[in-house]
Order: sequence, then structure tokens, then C-alpha cells
Amino acid sequence: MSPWSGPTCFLLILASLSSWIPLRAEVLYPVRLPPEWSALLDNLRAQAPLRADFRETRVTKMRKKPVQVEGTLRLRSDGVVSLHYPDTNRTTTVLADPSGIRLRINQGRWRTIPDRAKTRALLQAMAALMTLDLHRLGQTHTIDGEQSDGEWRLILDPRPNQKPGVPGRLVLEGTPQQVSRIELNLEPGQSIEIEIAPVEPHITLTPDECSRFFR
Amino acid sequence: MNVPVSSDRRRTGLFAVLFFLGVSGLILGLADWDQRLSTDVLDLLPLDSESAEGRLMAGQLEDAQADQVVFAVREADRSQPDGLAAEFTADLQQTGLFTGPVNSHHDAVDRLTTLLFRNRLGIFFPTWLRTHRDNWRTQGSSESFPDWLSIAVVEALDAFLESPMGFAYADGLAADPLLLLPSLWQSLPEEQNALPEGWILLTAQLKGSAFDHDFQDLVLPVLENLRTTFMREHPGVIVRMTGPVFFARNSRVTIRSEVETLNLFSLLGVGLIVLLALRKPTGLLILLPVLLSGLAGGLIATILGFGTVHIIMLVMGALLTGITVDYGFHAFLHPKGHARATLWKPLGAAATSTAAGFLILMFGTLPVVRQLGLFVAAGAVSALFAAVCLRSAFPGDVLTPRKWLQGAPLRIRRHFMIWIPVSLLLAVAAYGITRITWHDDIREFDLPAPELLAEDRSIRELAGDTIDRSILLTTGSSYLEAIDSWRRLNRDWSASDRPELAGLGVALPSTADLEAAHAFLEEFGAEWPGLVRKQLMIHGYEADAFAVFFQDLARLSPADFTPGRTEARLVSLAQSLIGSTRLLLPQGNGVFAVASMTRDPLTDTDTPLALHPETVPASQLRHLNNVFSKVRRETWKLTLVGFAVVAIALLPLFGFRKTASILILPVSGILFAFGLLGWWHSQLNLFNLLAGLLGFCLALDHALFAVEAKVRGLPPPASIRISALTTVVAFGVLAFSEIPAVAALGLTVALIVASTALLIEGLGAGNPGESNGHRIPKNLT
Repeated sequence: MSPWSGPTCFLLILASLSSWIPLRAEVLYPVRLPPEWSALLDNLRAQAPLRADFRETRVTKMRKKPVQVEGTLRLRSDGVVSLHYPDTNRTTTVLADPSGIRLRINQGRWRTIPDRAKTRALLQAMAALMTLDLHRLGQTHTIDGEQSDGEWRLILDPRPNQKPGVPGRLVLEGTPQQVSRIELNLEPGQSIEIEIAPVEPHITLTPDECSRFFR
Repeated sequence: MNVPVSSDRRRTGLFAVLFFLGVSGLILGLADWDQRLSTDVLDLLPLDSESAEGRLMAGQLEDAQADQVVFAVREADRSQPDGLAAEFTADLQQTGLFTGPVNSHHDAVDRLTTLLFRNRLGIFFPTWLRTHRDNWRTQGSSESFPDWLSIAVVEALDAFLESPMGFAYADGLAADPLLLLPSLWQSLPEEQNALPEGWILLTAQLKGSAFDHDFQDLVLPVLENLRTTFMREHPGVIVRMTGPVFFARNSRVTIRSEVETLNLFSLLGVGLIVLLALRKPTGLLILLPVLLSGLAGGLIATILGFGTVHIIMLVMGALLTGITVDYGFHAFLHPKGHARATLWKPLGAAATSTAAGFLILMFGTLPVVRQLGLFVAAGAVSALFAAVCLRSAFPGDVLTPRKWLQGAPLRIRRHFMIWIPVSLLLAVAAYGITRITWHDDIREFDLPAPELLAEDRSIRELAGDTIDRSILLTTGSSYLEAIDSWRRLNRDWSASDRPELAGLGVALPSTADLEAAHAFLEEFGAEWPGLVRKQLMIHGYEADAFAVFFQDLARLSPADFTPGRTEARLVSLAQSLIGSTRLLLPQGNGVFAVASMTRDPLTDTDTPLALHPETVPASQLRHLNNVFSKVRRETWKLTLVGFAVVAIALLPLFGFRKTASILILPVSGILFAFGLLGWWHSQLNLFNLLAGLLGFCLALDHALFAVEAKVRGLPPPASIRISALTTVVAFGVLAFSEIPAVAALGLTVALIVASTALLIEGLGAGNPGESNGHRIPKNLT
């Protein structure tokens, strides 16, 4: 063995590990985002209108196995997100915008989700997550951001003394072109994870899509 | 022939009037007018109405809801509506004007959710069970119902967890795997859930009554100052407020101002005519006791009969002054001679027929109209009494008309020259009458308050009460009865093409549902929970996660589904609701209701409601409009009866032919007046009708004297000319009132009296000394 193999191996291992170590882990303040994060968010929003399939995994205490559903996500240029869950019996579409979340069953009337104390904060957080409204999220959660080799991750942890219903840790992950994963931890043993397939950016939403999936 | 009046009779007459006025003054002076004089809108409602919705509405106005103030606050930063709203809430509580907490819309919905959750099995299980039994029967499953049901529960839970709604209820599913509450939320109106972004609604209960004058004067400046200061300190924030207290004070202040202004102009107008018409206007002072006697008699009778006097009735009752002044004019302007035949007989007939005609109104439904009937009837008789007594006390020429009021200014040789144009005018008027449509509106009593109304409307719209929606109240003598009625309504409604009905009624138990739930628990109550637990485990659930549900289910017994216990539960639930959610299950005056909402504005009349009289639109406006329309139809009948009574009363005194001659004049006056109104203002209401009756009585008074004069070949007496002029002026002033009801009354009466007066002048314009075309010997003129 060469006399340089030990240090060389160490350096190689270190180099390979470095690709997994975040180069920049930092606390983010929405009112004063660093330029790279501003640019990232702007770029993500600029992909709209876009369409992507997703898979949603819901973990609940009462079931041994998580619930998995699949659907199609659409993001409009104004930041409104539509999640469509096709089903043989009942299709549901969820719409998230800065004012909140609405849903529609079988192309019926758009309805708001009942305004209950426990869901109010959760729904606000969900709407903010889907629309990348860091300003609103920053009011209830601290935000830590990581960027590494083009991948990024936002970890949001609840601030102390929050109102009932404010969700626990929230995670957003993605690439410069899209959000690829969303995670909401509601309470111990309960969480929702949404994995987003590669998006089709800059699509043209047809009139039929607009009427079926948006208000 | 003139019979001298003895000094004894003169003293007796004067004493009688003074005594009457003295006693009346004492009674009225000692009366507590804060208690006796009402500006309360409740006193306008037919509280003894047989209609359940009327009693419910009155109950709603009587109860604490009438003392609520609603605030709408919008933050400058719309994403955080709760922040400054909390500060505003604290400021409100610091004013000390409110009792209990200041509740937000969120508080109300949270309280509703908590109460519904707590009562979910007791209240919603029967209907849930019925729905599933229907499905079981429809599917024709070979399994027993309990087995089938336990599988259905778990399959529904699976589907729910797979839906986006699942996460919103994740915290409650462990205690509600039957999905009782999630199913309910889907049937409630969406507007229970959402406010426009940035807005928050706050409801606060005043410590005092919204209808208490002193409290109104205390509360409103404080609230206005609070709002102004808050908005100044927080730029961009909007604060709106509404409540019965604002409208009550506005009505009180404006009505009082209106009454003072109208009375002033009326007095000025009448005073001017009197100056122009009488040689010695100071002689008018003799009319003061007549006028006061009439008013005093009317007021005392009304207080004795009803306990209170409503201010709206007083405004309308100003018409009594027109009648009482007439009696004074007739008594003191009457020329000497033939007093019995040409004065007391027609005057007595006028007073008694007026009293009889207005007393008929006491058989009506609307309290203010009944008060008006008694007020005018008693006042007319009192005024007649005073006129008779004072005339005997002052037999001389107290009032002397000027020359222009005497004689026959028109001289027409042939009557047909009058009847041709009169007939033509009557024909034109008759066509105008065919254009009349009748429409009643509670706003006839309303004074314009555009700013208050706009503020109130904006807050109602924030709360979801928009013009494209209707809220319905299904009533009953108990909540269970109301629910049964609602089910029948919903069945018919669903069969129509109208937008659906949404409300608690879809989930509340009917009597049949209770019986079925009772039977199910008796038969399967022991085994069914075990079946559900087994299915949960089969489908991959942790049965222990549902411990709360199974504990609650174990406590459930058939006795929980008896009508008595369920009704008690519903009453307790309704009484625990706060804010706008109280409207879901309103109750008052022994009437209970279930509210539902539809996106149907119900502007057409062909609705399923026609078959369901126990269901009415919740809008008080619409209900009271219906009440007024009903009262108007009733008043038509009463008015016709009144006319008949008057005609019958005159027959024995004047005979058939003369009675016909007398009646044709006011009837023609009415035709002219309503014909003109039909051309000019084709939509008329209850108060135009009441004015028709009043105008008839006033015009009849003139007609009686005119016909008596005509029979004797005399021109119309000066008394009816002055009376007509003062009446037209006094009621013409009312026509300018901002209260539509008062304006309608004034205009109609003025037109009737003016029309009749012109007709009297025209038809009475025969040659002097002629009676019906025959010369009368001079010794009789």
C-alpha cells in the first residue's frame, strides 16, 4: 500500500461526504431573505402555471398502515394551487390560496373547510406552505434553510406558545425548478407527506381545467 | 226660532267642560309618560297574532338578541385579523356597557362545534341510523342490519381518511368514527364557516335595554367615540357596528323631531287660514277647549284600553284635531236659528258616525290601528260633548266668518252643467283606480336612515346574509315538532328545481328517527359495539384508538332517545349557542324553530312554502310585510263594514233619499282621491286605506251640513268651508312627512276632503233661495 493511501482515503471519504453536507444551513427571516433564497423562490414561482402528479401519504395513530392517495397538482400563475384527487366514487379538488383552503366534491360547489379552532391554524399553515408564503409561515414557525448542490430544504419548527392547532414541524424540499416534497407533522403519530413528481412547467391551463380545478 | 239660553244652562255647560278638562288634565299630568308613551317597534306588531312566526319574531325582539351589538373589524394587515380585534375587544369591555364576554364569530363557531360534538350521539345518531337503514334496505343486503352497519361504518371511515377532509378532522375521528360531525358540516350552509379575508365579527350584549331612552343616550356616543379613536390610532383598520339600539334611537329622535316640525307647520298653516277666514281670530280661543277635550278624551280612552300609547299612533292621531276643530267651527259659526235641525242633528250624526266607523277598527289585528280606532272614536265624542256644552255657555257670535266665506260664489242655473264635468272626472278617476296596486312594507313606518341601513347591510353581508339567499324558519310548539315539519318541507323542496335547503334540520332527529333509534338500542345495543370493534381491527385500525367513542357508546341507552329527553337536549343546546349561531335554533314566546338556508332569493310566489305555512322567511321585513298585507285585507272588510254602519246610522235620522244625497258626496270624494292617487302614485298601502276611512268621516261631516243647507236653499255653510280649508292644510302638511305611513295618510285625507269640498261647492251652487230647484219661502232661509 502506498504511504499516501491513508490520508488519500480520508480525503476521498471527506470529499464524498461533503456532497451530503449542506454548504449553507441558515436561519431565514422572510422579511430579509438572502438573495439566493429570494432568487430560488422567485424561480419556483416562475415555473407556473405548472402541472404535476403527486402521492400523498397520511400517517394517523388510529391506523396501522398509512393512507396513500394519488392526484394531480396544478399551480396557477397567481400562486393558487389545486390538488385533484380522482376516485372511482368521488372526486375531490382542494384549492389553496392566500385566503385559505376550499374544496369541491364531484364538481359541486366550492366549500370552505369548517372553521374550527383546531383546524384554523393548520389550514392557514397548509395554504401558506402550498403557496410558498414564507411571510405567513414565519409568524408561527422558525425557518431554517439548507441548500446543497442545487437541492434545497426548508425546515419550519413551531415557535413557542402557539395557538392550538398550529402544526408541528413542516418541511419543504425541492430543486431549483420545483418543490418535490412537502411534509406536515400535525401531532405525534400524525403526519402528511406529499411527494411531487417532475413538474410540467409553463403549461397552458385549458378553459376546461380552469373551470374544473379552479374557482 | 232662537230660544234664549238660561244662565243656569250656560253655567252648567261651562262647568261641565272645565270639569272634564280639569280631571283629564290631572289624569294625563299624573301619568308616567316614559312608561305610557311607546316608541317600541314591538307595539306595532300583532303580538296576539295566531301566527307562530309572529310570536317567534316578537319573542326574538323581546329577548336578549335585541340588546346585541355586532361589530365588524377589518385589519389593515388582512392576514392577521385576530391581532387588533383582540385589542378592540378589550376596549369594548372596558367601557362597562356590556355584560358577559365579547364573542367573535370564531368563538361562536367553536362553541357550536364543541356543543355539537358533546351531543353528537344523543342528537345525531338517530338520523345517521335512519340514513344507513335506508341504504341497507336499498342495497337489499342479505346481512343483518347490525352486521351490515358495522362494515359500513368502517368503510366510510376508510373513505373519509382517504379524502382531503380526513386530516381536518383527524383530531376528532377517534371519538367520532361514525363521522357524525363531518357529515353534519357538509350539510350546513357554507356561510357558517367563512368570513371574507381580514374581517372578524364580534358580538356583545348590552347591559341595558336597547329601547331604553337613557341607555341609548349613554351607549351611542361612547361607542362612536371608541370607534373613531380606534381607527385613528390604527390607520387602515375599519370598524363597523350595528344593532337594534342604533335604529331605536334614530327612530325616537327623528320621530320626535318630525312630530314637532309637522305640528308647527300645521299650526302655522291653519293659523293663516283662520286669520284670513275669521273676523275675530281671537274668538278661536273658544275652540281650544273643544280641541283639548277631544285629545284628552282620546288619550285617556286609549290609555285605559291599551295601557300605552304608541308615538306613531299619536302622529296619525293628529288627524283627530281636524275632526274636533270641525265640531267647534260648526258649533260657533252656525248662524242663529233652526239650531236643532241644522246644527245639532247633523253634528250629532257626524260625531256618532265617525265614532262608530272608527270603533270598527278595534276589531282589527294591528295594535296601532286598534289604538287609532279607539282614540279617534273617544276623541270625537268628547269633542262633541265639549262643543255642545260650550255653545250653550256662549250662545252669542263668538266666531264670525268673513264675507268671502259666505254665500254662493258660483252661480249655476242648471245642475246638469255640473254633473257633466263631474261625471267626466269620475270616469277618469275610475280609470285611475284600476291602476292601483296594493303593496305593504314595514318600511312604511320607517324613517330614512340610509347610513345606518348601509352599515347594517354591510355587516349582514359579511355574516353571509346576502340578497341572493334566503333564511327560512320552520316553526313548531317544540323543536321536535319543528324538525318534523322541516323534514316534510325538505321533501317537497328537494322535489322542486330550487337550490337545496341547508341547515341543521337535515341531521336533527325526527320523532320517527327517535323511535327507530330507541328500538335499535333495545335490540342491538349490547352486541353492536363489539361488531364495530371487530370490523375496525379487520380493516387495520387500532381499536384502542377509539376508546373514547366506545365509552360514549356504552353510556348510550334507549332512554336517551325519548322525545322528552331529546327535546330537553335540543333546548339546552339552543340556549348555549352564542352570536350568529343562535339563529340556527331560535325560539321565543313558546315557539321553536329550525333555521335553514337556500340560495333561492324567493322573489317569486310559487314556492313550496305555499304548502308549508309553518315555514316562513326569517327576514323580519318580509314577515312584517305579510302581516301588514293581512291587516290591509282585514281593514278593507272593516272599512266596508264601517261604511255600512254609518249608512245605517244615518237612515233613521235622514231617510233614504237624503241619506243617499249625503253619502254620494264623500263617496265621490273618495273616488276622486283614489283615482288621482292611481294616476300619480299607483302603489298604495294600508295607510292609504285607513286614510280613506278617516277622509270619509271628515267628508261626511261636511256633506251632512251641506245637504241640510241645500235642502233649505242655502249655500254651503261657512263652517264647512273653513273646516275643509284647515283640514286640507293640516293633512297636506302631513303629506310631506318622511314617514311613508304618515305621508300616505296625510295626502289621501287631503285629497278626499278637497275633492268633496269642491263637489259640495259645485253642487251647492244653485240660486240662493232654491232648494233642489224649488224656491223656498224667505221666512225659512
